Amino acid sequence: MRIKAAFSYQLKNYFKSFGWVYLWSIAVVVILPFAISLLLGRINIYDINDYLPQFLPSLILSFYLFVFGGISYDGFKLFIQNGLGRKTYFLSKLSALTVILLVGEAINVLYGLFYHHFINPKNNPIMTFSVLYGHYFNSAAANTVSVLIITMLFTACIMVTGMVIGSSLGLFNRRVQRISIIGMPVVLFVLLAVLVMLNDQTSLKLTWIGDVLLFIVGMKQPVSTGHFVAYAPMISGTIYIMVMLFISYRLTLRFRVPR
Amino acid sequence: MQFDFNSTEPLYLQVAEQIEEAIFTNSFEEGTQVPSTTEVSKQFHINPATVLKGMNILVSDGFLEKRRGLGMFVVTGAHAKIREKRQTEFYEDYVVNLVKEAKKLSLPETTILEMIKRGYNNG
Amino acid sequence: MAKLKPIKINHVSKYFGKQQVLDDIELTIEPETIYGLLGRNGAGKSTLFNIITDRIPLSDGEVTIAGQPVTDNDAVLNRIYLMSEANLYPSRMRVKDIFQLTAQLYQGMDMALAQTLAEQFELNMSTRFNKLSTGSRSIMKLIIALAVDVDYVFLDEPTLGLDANHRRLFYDALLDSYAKRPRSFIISTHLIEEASNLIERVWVLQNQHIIIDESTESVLNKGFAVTGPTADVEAYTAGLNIIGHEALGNLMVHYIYGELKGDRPIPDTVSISHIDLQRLFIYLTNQEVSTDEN
Repeated sequence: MRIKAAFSYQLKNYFKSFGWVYLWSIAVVVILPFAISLLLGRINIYDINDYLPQFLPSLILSFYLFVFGGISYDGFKLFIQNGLGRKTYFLSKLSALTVILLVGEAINVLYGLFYHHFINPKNNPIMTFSVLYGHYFNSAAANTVSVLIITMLFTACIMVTGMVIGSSLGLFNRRVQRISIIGMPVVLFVLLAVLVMLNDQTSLKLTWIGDVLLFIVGMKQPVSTGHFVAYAPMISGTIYIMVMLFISYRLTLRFRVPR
Repeated sequence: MQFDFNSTEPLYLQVAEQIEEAIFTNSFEEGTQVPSTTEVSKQFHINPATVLKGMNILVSDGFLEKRRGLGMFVVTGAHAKIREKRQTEFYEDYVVNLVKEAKKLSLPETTILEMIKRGYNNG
Repeated sequence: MAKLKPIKINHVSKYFGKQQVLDDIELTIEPETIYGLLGRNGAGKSTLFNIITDRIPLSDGEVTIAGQPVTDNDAVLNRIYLMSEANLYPSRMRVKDIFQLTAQLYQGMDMALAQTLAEQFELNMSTRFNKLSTGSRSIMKLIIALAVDVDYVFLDEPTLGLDANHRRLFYDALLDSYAKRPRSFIISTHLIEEASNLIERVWVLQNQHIIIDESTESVLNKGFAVTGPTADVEAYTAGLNIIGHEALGNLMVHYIYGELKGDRPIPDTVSISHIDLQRLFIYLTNQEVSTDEN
């Protein structure tokens, strides 16, 4: 396999696009409002707190991994034209995106530290999931590590979800793709609405869905935030990632040109 | 009636004939190098293997020789050898056909001989 | 690398839905040989290329090299380049960047050659792929095909959209490149004339089958035109494999593919000559169609 060449090619491109997404996000979320208040002459009431949300880097990372994990077919086309098969494409993409994920999370932690110490000290913890799992273990170090792992697994779940969606779309032509991109959210929304409605009617007990969800995230009775079972999301997250990767891999193996 | 595939004979034979003709007319002089397989191949868009096959005929006929690492050269005395070869082939290639056509046209032997004499003197 | 192994196409069949495109194709692609794949439009030439290069799955059979299937096998795929009409490069990428990425993802590319060819073909290397005309796209892919480090180059209608000068330039470059580094070229085309002299071996694809897989020389040796008065021609060619005919008043031409009867006397009124590949192809592929329609 030519995985090394493929990996370094992918990684370079992912870093490039990741940089651009970062720059654009900062431009849109931070600089644009600043420029507007400057133009409107209201610079005196501009507060960086309002415009620099604590979750910005995590959002950017998740968004990036979801979208670029989803872009599958274009990469495959390029690879097969260059004598590299589907397996190499999938594995090099996965490993390159994983590197991006690790680097991204590192940035997030650093940003969290920075935010915590300089911008808004009174507010939230460095990592969001601390709120739920931050006090499960007795040692602070163990808690930090477990929250870090949970955070990364969560981001990875978003990434593999993107990959599954992208590799499913890769099997269809553009028309079907457009229909599903528009149609799927609508269908999901309707489904959700129906579920909520059904749940309201006491005749049908759908509380088991909620119970399953609570079990997955590790919420135990009596509820006390910060003391959720840290192992639960680790195990469920890992299982989810494995299943999604397997599905995405099998779908990728079915790619063809022309479609 | 005989087969005459001159216009559409195998490509490698045509290649051999063209080079032989060039040697005979001194376009490729004795002792000098003839164009490489690649050059001929590129010039006429012919597969190099075909060109080589044609050249190898000339090698086995003793008109060309391979010099290791240098290429193909016209053998000294090749011109004379070609003339000799063509002289022996002259009867088969020209006389037989000429007589055959003459017979079809009911031209008697004396007339043909006369014509040949006339052509020879005018030429 | 050890001595190159041939690519074997073993009993390959392909269906698109219920429609069969290829039926039990058996071929061997030897190293350092120039092949010509001839077939009429829609005969399945591109499909065959797409299968060999693992762009589409096959329905039955396998394509192997040294016993290893090509499917998702980089060791093999990375030694093959397919130039086709399909535009698989990132549309906004510049030509020179496409050259670079090719060099990176394959095992190298002769950049000096690519540069020279780009100049000869007047291809601007700074243009983005989507800004290139159809002809220029073909040229770019042809340059890659000639410069990239592979052992098997598949060219699907390489000169489509090229003008006469560029076609000539391309064949010059192809033979030059082949001479410097012999490797296999598999050229599919219906413009046979321009390629016939450089093809060593001919494949003819017709009605889902390979109907000819022979050296060009022996194919040409088997093609004859028998010309003369209708009655004499018909008497002589009776029982031979007649693949086509043309009539002009009482003058008849029968096109034959195969052996002539050596013992059969040839009437004085009849003349026999060989025919070129283009003509042979036209009659061979017409024959199959007409027998099907009957």
